[in-house]
Amino acid sequence: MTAYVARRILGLLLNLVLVSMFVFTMLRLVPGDAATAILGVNANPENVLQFKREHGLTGSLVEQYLDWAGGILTGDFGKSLRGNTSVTETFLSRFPVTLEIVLLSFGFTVFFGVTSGVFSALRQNSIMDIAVRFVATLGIAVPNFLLLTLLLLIPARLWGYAPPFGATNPFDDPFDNLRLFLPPTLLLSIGSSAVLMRFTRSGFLEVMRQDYIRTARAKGLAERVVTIRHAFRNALPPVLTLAGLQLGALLGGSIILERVMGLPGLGSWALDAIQLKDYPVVMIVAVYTALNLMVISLMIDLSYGLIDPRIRFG
Amino acid sequence: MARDIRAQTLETDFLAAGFRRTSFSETLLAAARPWLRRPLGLFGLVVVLLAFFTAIAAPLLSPFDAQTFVGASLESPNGKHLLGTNNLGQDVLSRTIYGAQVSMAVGFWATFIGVAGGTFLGIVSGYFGGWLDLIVQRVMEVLASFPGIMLALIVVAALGRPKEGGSDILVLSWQLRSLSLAISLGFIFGVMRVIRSAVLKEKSLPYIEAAVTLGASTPRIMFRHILPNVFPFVIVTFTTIIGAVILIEAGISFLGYGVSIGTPSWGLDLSNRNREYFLTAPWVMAGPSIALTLTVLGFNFLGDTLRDILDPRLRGSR
Repeated sequence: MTAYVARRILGLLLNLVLVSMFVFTMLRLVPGDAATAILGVNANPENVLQFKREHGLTGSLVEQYLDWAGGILTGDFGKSLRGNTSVTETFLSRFPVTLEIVLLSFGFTVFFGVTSGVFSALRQNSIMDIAVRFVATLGIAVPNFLLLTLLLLIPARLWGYAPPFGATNPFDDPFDNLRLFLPPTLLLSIGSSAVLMRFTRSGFLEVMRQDYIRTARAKGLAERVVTIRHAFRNALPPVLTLAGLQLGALLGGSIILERVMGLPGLGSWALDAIQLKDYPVVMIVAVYTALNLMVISLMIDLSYGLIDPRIRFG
Repeated sequence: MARDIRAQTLETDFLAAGFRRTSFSETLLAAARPWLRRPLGLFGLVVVLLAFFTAIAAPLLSPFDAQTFVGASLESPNGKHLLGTNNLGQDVLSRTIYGAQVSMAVGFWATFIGVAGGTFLGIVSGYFGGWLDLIVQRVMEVLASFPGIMLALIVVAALGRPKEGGSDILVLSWQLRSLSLAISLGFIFGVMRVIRSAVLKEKSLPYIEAAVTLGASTPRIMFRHILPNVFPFVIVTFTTIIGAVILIEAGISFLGYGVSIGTPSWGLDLSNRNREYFLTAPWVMAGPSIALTLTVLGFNFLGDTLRDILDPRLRGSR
């Protein structure tokens, strides 16, 4: 177990280095010069050189990468090429917005996906099952940006309602904050919930056909115990894995949500930075996102052992 | 000559044993039967074929050119402009019809690159195993460490824009190419995992051993023996991911990082910059949003049905 975790963490770190090298190279392939993009075409060559030196843009690609990576080891992610502000500071101020979006929509995804999937499987081919599956099929096909745009447009058109503008601190004014965050995160979770629901349903149906379920019933166990203790526990591991994968989709969806609702999160920050070749910003967001996804997937893999004691790590 | 005779005797033997020769129409019916029992799959197939047809025949189908100003600004739907006009006085119906081109082109090519790449890597890494497998898995995991849309946005930026002075059509084809490549990268890992696990199962079967004994070369075993046997998985992954690919393309265009402004595209025509017009003229949104949702729905139905038919292990589970 310890050896397994150690090996996974080592693999995770290696992957993180590869990710940062990949993004770094990609951003340097972007045609055009970051210095000219920021300072303008007619900038004084001396200023350009000064700018490049300040932001570690001189030297070969390898030297630049090592420069950047060396900074990270001392906790310095560099300065934004625009405005000269510390990337770490801006990251910390924007991070809560994205965190709240992802946490809320992930919560909705797991809750609605799993409950409706189990519910649908237990009442296979009933009217409710068909209705839930219909909604899920539609939910996967409707683009999230369309739903979010409609969320702004329909109340505005019908009642002249607009959500409170800009991000508020959830601890200062929880009501105002939730009025802003709940509706869009609920909509953002529709697609992921639908994917998870279909998967939970098929997994659950598969488990319910197994012999041990028949045995459990034959022993005279209450149906509630059969579904919760026997079926649910066995159907859970693959559902958890898929839920972890949905986190990636939600992080991507957060970019769109932030852009549509005008929220100052990491997604909209990275989006502007990609356009302007502001590489320290893109790097910190990309590395953070990748780390996030890898840690979650490691935690899910480890939770398998808790759910099913037969699973051994080797 | 000898071969002909042998084939003939074989055929007589089969006929004598009670086998019948099936006619073409019988074969066709046998292929169509699973579809006739699945109305949603048939619906999906029709929608998908219609979407491809619309994209290809757009110049013939659309009443106006998508980029010329053919009416007043924001006309509501009327006899001349069935879906109204947008703020520039362009015909919304024509833009919706032409919009199919970007979605279908990127949808098809990104999926094709992703599935072809994933299949190739899956077969090679599954068949050889060892350090090659390890390296392929590691590298692919890097691509899988991002949300698909973020990876695509970074790669699109890296591929850049064509040099100044290109004609519109050159710019568009450059953009379609980089979008397809960028989006496909996010799907290679998933496809590779599916194909790889299928290859691992096939590898241990006796027919592979037989082929090795007969002296077949490694590429021949991989692509003439294993590939046909895992091909159902290839088709199923293709139809399952194409809907998601089309949605990602629309999302990128929506954010303004896809095709240039002005190009008829479903994602772009729903984009944020048009939001102010939607409030007073909601018909501007109707065409592209319905077309986009319906197309993705069609691909998803088609994918589910194909998986149902081609992958018996999953039959009845969905």
